[in-house]
Amino acid sequence: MSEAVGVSIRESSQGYQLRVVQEVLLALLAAEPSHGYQLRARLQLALGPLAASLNAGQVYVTLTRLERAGLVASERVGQTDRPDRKVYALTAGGQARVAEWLTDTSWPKPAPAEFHLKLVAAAAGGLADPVRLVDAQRHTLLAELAAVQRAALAEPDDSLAGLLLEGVVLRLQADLRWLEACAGYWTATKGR
Amino acid sequence: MGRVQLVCRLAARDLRRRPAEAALLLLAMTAATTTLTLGLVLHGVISKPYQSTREATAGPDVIAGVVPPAVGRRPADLAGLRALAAARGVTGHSGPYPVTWTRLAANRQSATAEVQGRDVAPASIDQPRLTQGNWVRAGGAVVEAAFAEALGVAVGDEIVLEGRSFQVVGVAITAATAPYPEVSCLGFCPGPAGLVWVTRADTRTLTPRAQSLSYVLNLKLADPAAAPAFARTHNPPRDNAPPGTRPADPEPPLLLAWQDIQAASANLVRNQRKALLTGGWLLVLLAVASVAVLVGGRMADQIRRVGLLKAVGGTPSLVAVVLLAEYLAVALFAAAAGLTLGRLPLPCSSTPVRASSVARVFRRSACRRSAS
Amino acid sequence: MNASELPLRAGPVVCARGLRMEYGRGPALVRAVDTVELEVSAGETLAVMGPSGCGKSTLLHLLGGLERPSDGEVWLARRRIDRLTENALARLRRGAIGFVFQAFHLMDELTAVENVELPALLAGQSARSARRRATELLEQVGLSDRADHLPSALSGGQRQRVAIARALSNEPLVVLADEPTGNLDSTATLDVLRLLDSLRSAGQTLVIVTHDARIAATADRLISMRDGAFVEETRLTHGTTKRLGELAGLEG
Repeated sequence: MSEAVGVSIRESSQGYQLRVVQEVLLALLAAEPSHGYQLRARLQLALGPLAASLNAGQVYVTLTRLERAGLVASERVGQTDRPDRKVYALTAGGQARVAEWLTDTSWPKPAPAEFHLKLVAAAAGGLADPVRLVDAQRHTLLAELAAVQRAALAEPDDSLAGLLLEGVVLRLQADLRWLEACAGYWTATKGR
Repeated sequence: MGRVQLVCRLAARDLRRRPAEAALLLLAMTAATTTLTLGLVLHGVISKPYQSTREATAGPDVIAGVVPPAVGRRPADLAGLRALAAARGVTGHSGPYPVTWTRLAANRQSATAEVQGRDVAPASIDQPRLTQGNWVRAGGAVVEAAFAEALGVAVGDEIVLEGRSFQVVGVAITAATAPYPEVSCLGFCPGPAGLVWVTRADTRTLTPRAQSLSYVLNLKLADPAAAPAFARTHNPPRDNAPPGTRPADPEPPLLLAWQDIQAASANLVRNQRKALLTGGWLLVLLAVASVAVLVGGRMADQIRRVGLLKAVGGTPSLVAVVLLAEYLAVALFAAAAGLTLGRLPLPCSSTPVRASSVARVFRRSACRRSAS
Repeated sequence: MNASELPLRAGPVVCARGLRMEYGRGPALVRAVDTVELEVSAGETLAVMGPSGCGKSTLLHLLGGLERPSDGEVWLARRRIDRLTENALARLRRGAIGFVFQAFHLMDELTAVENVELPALLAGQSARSARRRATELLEQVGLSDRADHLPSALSGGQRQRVAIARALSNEPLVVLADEPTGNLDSTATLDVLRLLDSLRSAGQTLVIVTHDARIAATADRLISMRDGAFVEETRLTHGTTKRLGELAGLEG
């Protein structure tokens, strides 16, 4: 999975890094081959104000890494009045990786950016119906909520542990509410 | 059993929740039923009061009367009156009875009374039927029932005739005249006068002179249906004198057939009955409209109840019963109230003077029924 | 027909085959429920979620016989109910199905205990036995001290618990709840949540339509609906608390 090229959430002096930036870029490339700057622009559009805190060079660094891992291939395209630019395209391995990522419903600690980008990438590449992705994620979360809630209900009323469990329940509930909003958004977008 | 209790409970509670509306509903429906009952009762009253009076009192077929002339001191033509008793077709008579008109004071009211002198012994024709008390005696007067109600007098009260005090010893009905104030006039009527019977002797004391007495004679015919013809035959020809003026010479007797008295009796009631019926129907329409508004205004609430009952398993018929039960309950109360109010047997001597004649007739017949 | 009469090794309690509900015609045709297949086993709690207008309430009404489907079959314990007469359906709703609504739908003029005994009285039971059962049920939902209160004197959560007690009155085969916590605040929701959980433990078959995730999480099985059709189904009871540490923020 993400251990392939070993990236995790880490604060750096140059801004935040996105844990699943590889998967996002791969998914964005699934629609068509793109230049690095085009991919970066798409990310900025999807992240809005948050894009500013993203590490400036992360996109290019990641693309290089992906090429080394054989998940993308690059081509130099000659330009008349500018230095040549690389165009990146998805390989078969890259496509497989994307498909795996889309169906993965593991839910990290609060990281709406990742899921948000997953939906954006899926919609952009025509890879999957974002609404269905939301449904699947919701159900996973609800199963977890069910488990936690059962544990919470089993605790006596004034239990200390019960308070902690309640906190977990409420965060999951909040996540689920956001997922409903996502479903609403992407359903409406589909209609347009 | 549980279902019945449930329906009753739901109906009662819903009514209790909106008492003002329920009261309005009850009022509207009661007004309607009372009016309809009154109408029905009146219908019964109007149909045959006169006939029953006639039978009960051996009412006369023809009444003949004479008055003394206005000018001069000559008496009435008593002989002419008596001669009628022997006319063809007459099978019996009673009287002649002396008659005079006097002022009457009673219960702080005054009126005009037509005082008729009678024997203590019952007459064969036109013996007034007592609804209260006893027949005439010295110092004792019997008042015609409608007159008594109008005055508000009963047996034991005092009336003053021409300054002389009499005690009311009885109240009676008669077929010889229409009920007060529709008295039948025989030639001369000093306005609406009520009939009062006293002894012959007492009658004489009420006039300054014997010659100023009038007389009345009751006749029975072989063929009661021929009474109008008989009256026409024996009545003097009409002259051109203005009505109400007394002639100079002693006039021949004037005759009145019983059919005319019956007509006068019915007239009393006919117009007022029309008014009452019209008013009654308007009231019914108003009641129906109010009911419709009250019921309709609660439709939204009732629809909600219907939905709820349906969801917890009420069959359509039960739901309908629940809806109707309250209105049915109110309607039943209203019907009972209306029937009672419409047929209330009020005591015969507790009416204000200005009560409508219709009500008087109605109460008279109620009194009559309760007395008979 | 009620729960006590259900044979031991029966099939599903509630069953829907090819269920369809359409309104309007031609271009204005609306498919509220679009060819739904469903089975609910005895003692199972099923939650149905979905956005507004997805047809989940309509589905519940069809399962409960409150509406007749345009097409398809609805079975309740081996008895087909979508073609019954109004009277038969009424008897069914009285005995075999208990309904809980978002707006409680209690009769405002009856006290709590009178509301709870309503189905029993409708079924023809004697006043005494109906009252006895109603008192028991109010105790079960924790409202014995409010038995003689009118609904106007009860909080939202209390009213809903009375409504649930009423739904249980005639030992129904299945309790159908349509957004039971839709009108409740978070505290009242917790009360109802606990009650539903206890019903589930007691073996009551439940079908709950909700968009409250916590209420849905009490179910054994969850179905998501969209545009009248089922889109996702998950067993909720298989989840474990393995990830609990992670979810709570402990690095794992």
